[in-house]
Amino acid sequence: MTAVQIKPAPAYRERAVRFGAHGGLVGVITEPSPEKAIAGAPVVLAANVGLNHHVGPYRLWVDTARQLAEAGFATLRFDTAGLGDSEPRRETVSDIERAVLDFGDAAKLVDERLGAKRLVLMSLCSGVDAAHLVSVRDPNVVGAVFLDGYAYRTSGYKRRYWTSRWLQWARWRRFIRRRWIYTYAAATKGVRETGEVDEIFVREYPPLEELAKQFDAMVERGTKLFFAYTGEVDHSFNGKEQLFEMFPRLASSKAVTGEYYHRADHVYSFIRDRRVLMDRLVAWMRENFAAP
Amino acid sequence: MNPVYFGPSERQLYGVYHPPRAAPRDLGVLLCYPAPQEYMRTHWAMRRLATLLSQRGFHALRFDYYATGDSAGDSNEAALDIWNKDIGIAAAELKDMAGVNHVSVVGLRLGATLAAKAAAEGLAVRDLVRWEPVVKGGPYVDELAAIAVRKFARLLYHDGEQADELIGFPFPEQLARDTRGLDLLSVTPKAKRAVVVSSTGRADHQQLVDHLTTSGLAAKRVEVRDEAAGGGMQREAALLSMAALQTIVRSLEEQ
Repeated sequence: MTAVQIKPAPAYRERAVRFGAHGGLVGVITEPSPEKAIAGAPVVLAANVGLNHHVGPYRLWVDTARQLAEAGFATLRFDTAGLGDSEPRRETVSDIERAVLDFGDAAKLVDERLGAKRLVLMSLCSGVDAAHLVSVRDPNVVGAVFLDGYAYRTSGYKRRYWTSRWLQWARWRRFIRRRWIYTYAAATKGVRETGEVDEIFVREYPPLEELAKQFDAMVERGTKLFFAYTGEVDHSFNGKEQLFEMFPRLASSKAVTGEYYHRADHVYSFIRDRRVLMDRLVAWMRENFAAP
Repeated sequence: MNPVYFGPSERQLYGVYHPPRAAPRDLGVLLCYPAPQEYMRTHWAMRRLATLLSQRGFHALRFDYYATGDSAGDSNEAALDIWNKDIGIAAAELKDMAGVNHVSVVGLRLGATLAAKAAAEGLAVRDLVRWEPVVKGGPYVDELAAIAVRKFARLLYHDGEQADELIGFPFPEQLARDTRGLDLLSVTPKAKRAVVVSSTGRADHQQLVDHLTTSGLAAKRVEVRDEAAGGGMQREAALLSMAALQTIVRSLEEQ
């Protein structure tokens, strides 16, 4: 084995924290160095993606937090109760309300430790459910990032589905590739991925019009919204224009940013896709929250 | 449990210390995760194991190697040499924070392989428990590559991973070469006892025990006969095995 050089310490500081009313929540605060910190900037909160613990899939939240720190923003990534490193709560409330309590504890922590009340919530997949509810209820949430969040099939979705689906070479290529791999690739025998079996949970979506009103209210109070969808959720989202097909009143708002990464998979498994997403998130934070 | 950062300032490591919840023993147990590709899916099992150990009076510390999990370092800085050193740093930290005189190590998959190397290179270990250890690096990398093929086959736009990535993580040439070069049958760790916990039908694990016995080490293999002890750790089922966790705890309790 060959010794590898380690880079000098980065220009940010990380500390492990244990917090919450029951003292059982665990997370990591990433703070920019004093010379890079943006005075008065909101603090980013990122919690679990599904059952993944707080580092996020492929360290997505770790890398994002460190890039944001380089740009001057602090982050708290944490596990909601009962997931990852955090201990369960004793309250008998629903999962979603439990997560809302956890976000409340996280907000209290960043207020106490970092002196920040304003928050930006970042969430992916089922993590969107709690982040959305907190964003709706808490006026201190000045920004919200929803990655592969709620999506509803629109008439535009159906049109794109029926007009382009059979003409896409990528679909035929995938069909052939899967048949070949599952049938002939001896090296992959005995290896079965969870994506090949049935989904193990079902999410409940709020009615579309209720959601639209909630987004309207958030924009009205000045909250910046960032939506990104990936190609892997093409069962419900299949074009950049679909965001404003679902929420037409948001189309004219400068507070709303929409991205569609059609080549990326749901959890940004490929390094190049993660890099694109993180660069965009950092740029969005700078555009919206760099000024005091 | 107490989350902490420890180690040298330029390479802070993240760990979670589980203090004893029963009459404390003079023994700390260090838990060594697998490689990043298997980290996320083994995290819960390692947490459960640490909790079980603490309930039986052990001091337990699980930690992330440099450039993995919450520890310092970019993912593309991952290197076996560094991870080996990290095991020594974490063992010293465990002794220090728990005030114990002895440390045992439990390693899962690649973590077992790294733990054995650390013990062979001077780390003082009482028990060395290897859970589904990676015996040879070549077949292990091939297995991960096969999983990647299978995992990403469902994606619509997929041109394959770059040569220097593996299941979503950077896998630079040096790391690939070092990993492929791993061979536990040429490593003789120093420990009071060695235990291999594995599923049925693993001839390579029996070979490993034979190698250790021949080398004069008190070694044994414990087969865990349940559905969750398969070698393919990419499968969630493999991580829900209470039988495997209880086997490990029992083996550490034996005097």
